[in-house]
Amino acid sequence: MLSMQKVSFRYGKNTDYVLSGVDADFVPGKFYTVFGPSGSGKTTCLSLLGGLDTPTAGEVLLDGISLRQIGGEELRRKHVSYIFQNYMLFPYMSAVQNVVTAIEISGKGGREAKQEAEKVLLSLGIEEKDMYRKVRKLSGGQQQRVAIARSVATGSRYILADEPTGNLDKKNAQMIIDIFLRLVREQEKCLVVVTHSQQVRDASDIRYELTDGQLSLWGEAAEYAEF
Amino acid sequence: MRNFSTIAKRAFRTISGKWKGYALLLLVVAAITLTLYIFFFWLDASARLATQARTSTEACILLQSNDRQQIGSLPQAMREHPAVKGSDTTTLLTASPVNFVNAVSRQDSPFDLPGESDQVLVSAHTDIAMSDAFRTGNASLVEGAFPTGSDPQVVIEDVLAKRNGLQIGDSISMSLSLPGYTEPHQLNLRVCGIYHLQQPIEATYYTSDGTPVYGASPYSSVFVPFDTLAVRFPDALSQDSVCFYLTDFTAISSVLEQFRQLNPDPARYTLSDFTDYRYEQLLQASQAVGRLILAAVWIFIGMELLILFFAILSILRSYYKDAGILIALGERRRCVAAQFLFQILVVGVVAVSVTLVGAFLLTPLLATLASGQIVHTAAETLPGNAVEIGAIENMARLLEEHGGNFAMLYASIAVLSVLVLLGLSSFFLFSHTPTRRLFDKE
Repeated sequence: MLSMQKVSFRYGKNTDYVLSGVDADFVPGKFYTVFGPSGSGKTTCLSLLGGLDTPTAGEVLLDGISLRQIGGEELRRKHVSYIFQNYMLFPYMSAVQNVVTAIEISGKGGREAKQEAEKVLLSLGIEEKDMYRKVRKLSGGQQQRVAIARSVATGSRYILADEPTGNLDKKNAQMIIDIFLRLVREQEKCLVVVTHSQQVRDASDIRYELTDGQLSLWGEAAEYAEF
Repeated sequence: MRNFSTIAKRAFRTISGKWKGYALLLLVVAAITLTLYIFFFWLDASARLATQARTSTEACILLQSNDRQQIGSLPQAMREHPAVKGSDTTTLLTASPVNFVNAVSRQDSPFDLPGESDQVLVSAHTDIAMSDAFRTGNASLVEGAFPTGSDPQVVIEDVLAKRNGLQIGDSISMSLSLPGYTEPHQLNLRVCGIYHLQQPIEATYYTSDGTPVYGASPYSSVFVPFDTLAVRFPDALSQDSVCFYLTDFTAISSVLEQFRQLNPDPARYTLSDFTDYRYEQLLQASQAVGRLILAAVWIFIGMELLILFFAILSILRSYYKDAGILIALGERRRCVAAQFLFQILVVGVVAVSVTLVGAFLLTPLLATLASGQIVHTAAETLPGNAVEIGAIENMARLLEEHGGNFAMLYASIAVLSVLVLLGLSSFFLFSHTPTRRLFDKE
């Protein structure tokens, strides 16, 4: 379980707190969405959960162990991976090379990494003829699927996504949502998606709303929690 | 090791993927290497030329005196002076008494051949091997050896030997017309060596009417040990000479001063100094050319460094995003920096290697151009002084043989050091967070 315990964060000593005393748990097998107004700190949440930033106060824990102990790099190599709105792929590499790069960083390499990359890409609907094309020549939907493949191929349990459907049309967005649901249901992944999209929000299991630096459960989940 | 191979693979993927940026870097590094090569080439060339000028300019001081004791004691005293060539005894002896004696053959002498000169020039030295002709390489022994025994011996020219059918071990007799003797004197000598001469020896010789002339001698020279003449004809050698060759022609005045201190009575000796300004002339010309070259080099280096700065900046900016992605994927920051260093070094090493191969091929041309330009400048700026071909050829060879190697080594060290420093600075750069730009602003 990935947890935030009384997490507060600000970007500089003389700046306002973006998050103040946030508590939240993210468990494998669930699809979470975090939404809120622009500038509310949604992305900061993702950054803290993946160890890219360190809380000013409070702790982020993985299975009860502080990320300060685990280390951000170790966390991202083995447990957490990111998906970005602008895909953040290496545009000059092929789809396979992009995925292999991530697998190599996680510790595997050679032919095994390549086979794994091809397998994952195929499972996400990237055809063989597209696997070895430079990713900049692929469509937005294909590029986002390559990005998902990159995060899945490393074997991370937690996938953190920042507006993953932000640049996609409704059809492609639905395709990505279906993939997310498959990952959660079939592979027990924990998916935390920061989004403005109603479509994504509706598909998620648990929704958090972030306002005034506070993260709170929203909708049925909130009612259930209150109950 | 696995880390390194992963980094290397990724680096090569990046270089091939962003080849335009790295091609620009390669070109700039190659240009800088070439400019530095020319810079170091010239630096080395001018340093060597300066050394050559100081050590090879034929500066000498000639002391002539009728005081045998003075002639004998001076070399020992002068040995202390740092500018006197070679303070060891052997070298000093080369500059010891030298006498040119006009030897006129009679009708019955072995040298009296129809249509040939009836004169030979007898040159007496304490060490024939180190006399001017042999020391400069103008004369070289082709048979036999220099005199070593106690019996009177002589080294003769191969042309003379051939014309007279002389061989090593043959005895010859010469009639010498010597100053202080009214009648010609007979000298019997054994041929111990035969030499070959490249150019006529320059010396003072006497025409048939007794007029002394200095220049390329029309007569064949024979070399005899100084003692052979000194013992047999003491009166002929009424005035002895000591010739000091200097290691530094600029030291002439200080050496002369020391002479005067050692010999307070100027009436007892004649002191003269001679300097051949060939190398000094070349040195001045090279300095003039060098100023132009160095000015051009600085301008080029300035421009190239500016372009290098922008090329590196462009690569860095594009790599900055890659670095963010790699860090988000869990890569260690030091590995991200190492990859950047590796990318720069791979391109740098390729650029430097290719340039140095080119520079290696360019060296002879550069040497010829440099020496040609120096000669041209020397001829224009120093009118009236002929620049000798031998000196120029020597300089071109010197530049080609040494300047190239030196320049290659230093240019490559300089360029690669700069690249390593730039690459290492990335370790500091990537220790800061380049990941925030991965997320879209909310």
